[in-house]
Amino acid sequence: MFEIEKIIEPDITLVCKLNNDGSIGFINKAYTDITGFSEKDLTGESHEIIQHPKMPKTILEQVWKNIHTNEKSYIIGKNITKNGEYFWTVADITNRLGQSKNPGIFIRKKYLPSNIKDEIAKLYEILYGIENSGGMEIAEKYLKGWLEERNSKSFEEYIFNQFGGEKNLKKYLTTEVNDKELFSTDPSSMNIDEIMEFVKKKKRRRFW
Amino acid sequence: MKRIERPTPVNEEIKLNPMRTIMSKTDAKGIIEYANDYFMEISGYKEWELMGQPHNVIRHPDMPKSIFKILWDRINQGMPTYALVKNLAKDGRYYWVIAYFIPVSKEGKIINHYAKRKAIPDEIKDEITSLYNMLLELEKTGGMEAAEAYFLSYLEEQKMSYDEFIFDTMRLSEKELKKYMDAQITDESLGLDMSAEEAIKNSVKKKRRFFW
Repeated sequence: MFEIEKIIEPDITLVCKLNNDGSIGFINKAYTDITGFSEKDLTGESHEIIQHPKMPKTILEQVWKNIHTNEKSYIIGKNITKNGEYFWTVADITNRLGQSKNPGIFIRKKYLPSNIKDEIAKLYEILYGIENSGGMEIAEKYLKGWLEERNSKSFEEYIFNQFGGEKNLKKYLTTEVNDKELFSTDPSSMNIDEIMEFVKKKKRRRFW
Repeated sequence: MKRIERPTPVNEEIKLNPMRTIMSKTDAKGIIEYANDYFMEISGYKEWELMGQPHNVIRHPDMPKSIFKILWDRINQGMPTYALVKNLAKDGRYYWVIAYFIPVSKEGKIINHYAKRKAIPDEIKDEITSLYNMLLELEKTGGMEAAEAYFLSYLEEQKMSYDEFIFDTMRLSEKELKKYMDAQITDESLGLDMSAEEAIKNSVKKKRRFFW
């Protein structure tokens, strides 16, 4: 289960809205297309259903803490499809629970460039392993040391650095990349610099 | 969490890449909080085995306790300290390093120790082994205090401070040693066939850090 990687094209944006209780309120068409889950499969279910079971809690807890204090957070996630594949995404999460119009937690996911993926896959495997052998506290300390070695104070800062700053990451997450040229390249072999080259030429599109 | 049992030593050396750095971070009590890739590769442990364990799981029985006593006395005073150390890998093999321990304090209390380690030339291993063997023998007969007294009077005789003893043994100035400790490469295959002598020579003559 979850041994085969599904490569998603960098032009695809997966959107998911969570309710107050963490259940799924809405997913976009790209989400059902990619994951094979139907709207009916997911609506009302806990968000964990689309999350890889080996996502480290250390990362998840930090993100939930962030969105409840800062209203916005970023995460690199390992996701699953209905027929047991996995795929990596970088996402921003926006807390709009306090809004009167369309309240909820909005998650916007995009393809994670391959050069970041390798390092993160290794980190998550280690964190998951430590959580299960030594516990959360030891895993949190490991993550802190790992980030220090990479000159980052937080995991978010690390993600920003990988994308050349928060501004660039936001641009990537909000840009539709639909060049024919890009389609012809295997996205799994594309690194962030190559993707950002395309992104820079594109205009931002807002979802909310 | 279960303590790891220290492996039984075998008399075989692990060759280090002198261009790579073994790094670790412990809490004030010496419990491992973080160790880098190269630490895991050389020690042979997995992160989930080693994190949360006391740092002395990699301590080799050939290391005199008196050296660690002197080392910890200095570190606990907040002094960054070098040491020449023989370490023990999971499979029982050993590897020699020059280690640099950096205590980090918060509100006057030490909270963490950072350490980086690099390979040392074979010649220096032989030299330091004879000194350590002497200290080990003294520890057996006269206890740790006798060994410590011997070492300190040895320094006195040579009119050297502990730091000077390290620089003298490494045949480097403080600045040169620092340059070697800071030299890093990102391409892991580089430096594999390089001896520690060559790596030291290369890093010392560089004005800046290595960038490749």
